[in-house]
Amino acid sequence: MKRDNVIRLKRVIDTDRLSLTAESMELIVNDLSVALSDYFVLSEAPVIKVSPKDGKYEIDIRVSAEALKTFLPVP
Amino acid sequence: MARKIVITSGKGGVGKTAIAANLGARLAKNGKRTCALDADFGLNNLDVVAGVENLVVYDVSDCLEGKCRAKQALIQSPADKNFYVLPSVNAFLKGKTVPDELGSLISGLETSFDFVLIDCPAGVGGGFHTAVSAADEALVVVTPHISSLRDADKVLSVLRSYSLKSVGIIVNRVRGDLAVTGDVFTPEQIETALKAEVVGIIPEDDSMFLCNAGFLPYDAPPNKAFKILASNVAEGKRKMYDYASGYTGFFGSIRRSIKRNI
Ligand SMILES: Nc1ncnc2c1ncn2[C@@H]1O[C@H](COP(=O)(O)OP(=O)(O)O)[C@@H](O)[C@H]1O
Ligand SMILES: [Mg+2]
Repeated sequence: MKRDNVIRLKRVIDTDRLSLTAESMELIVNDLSVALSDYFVLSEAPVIKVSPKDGKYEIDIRVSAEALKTFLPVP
Repeated sequence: MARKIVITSGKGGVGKTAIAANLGARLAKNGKRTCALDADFGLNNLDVVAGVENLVVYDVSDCLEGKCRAKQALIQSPADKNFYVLPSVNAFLKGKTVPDELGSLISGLETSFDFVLIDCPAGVGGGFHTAVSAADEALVVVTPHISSLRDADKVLSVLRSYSLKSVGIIVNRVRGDLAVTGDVFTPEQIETALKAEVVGIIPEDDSMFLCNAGFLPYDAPPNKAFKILASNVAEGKRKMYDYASGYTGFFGSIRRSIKRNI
């Protein structure tokens, strides 16, 4: 098959494989908020972007915080 | 103990039934006792493709309802004494999900055969899950076109959640002329895109719908292709049918242009 169509097939399959529903996205966001809130005072919920890249996935997480929580690691 | 192989696909009409029947007949000719079972209750066709529709007395649904024993429903194929068909003709199961008893029915056949090929419905509906649960290996049939490959990828991802011993791809309806000119996907490109191994290639040929399973003419291209596929499946070989043969070089280009113009 010509190159254009090989790329087209790859794009279609990659998009299909990315089957994260809105519900599962919400679950990830909630879990991340809980985990990060132990260390930061979050100003808003994290924003997650998952995109296929070379047969793997690239996951971007953007999050901002009002303040850092002070803590000492238990020795 | 029989190897239980489900023949499945993402898209319908890609050749599951034709492949289940012809692969079954070929394995039988090689001396393997083989049963092809029609688990595509909605769009059952195995009896016709195997040319045994006039011999049906009982079918799968009779077995599942307890009206007969599996061995009473088996039909010996006229193609080979080692080849049996367990047909589905009854409308009884239409629209219902396939009962889980299918698994026990198939297990009951295990000791009598070397191979049980399960002709499965397309897609990933209820019937698919029942058929796959009853199998320990899967063959996914694709044609070398985007829509078929895309749907196959979904089926493959569901199949990976089952603990099957092996999952292979059969590329059906390959036109050598178009593969050579780069107008359809090649088996290598399909392997890369779907991340699964191609275990057989069947060319596009009229003999596939003109002949009953097991009666492909000796010199018909699919006959050779099924021979190779059967030995790949039975013996774990990975020889591939040469779909490009005859379509490369000077005479090949003439043949390609004739094909284009008909
Ligand atoms: N390699 C082939 N060359 C030509 N026709 C084919 C080939 N494979 C299948 N066919 C035809 O395609 C149609 C659909 O095949 P079938 O086996 O019924 O598909 P499925 O069971 O996947 O729905 C049938 O008419 C069959 O004869
Ligand atoms: Mg069919």
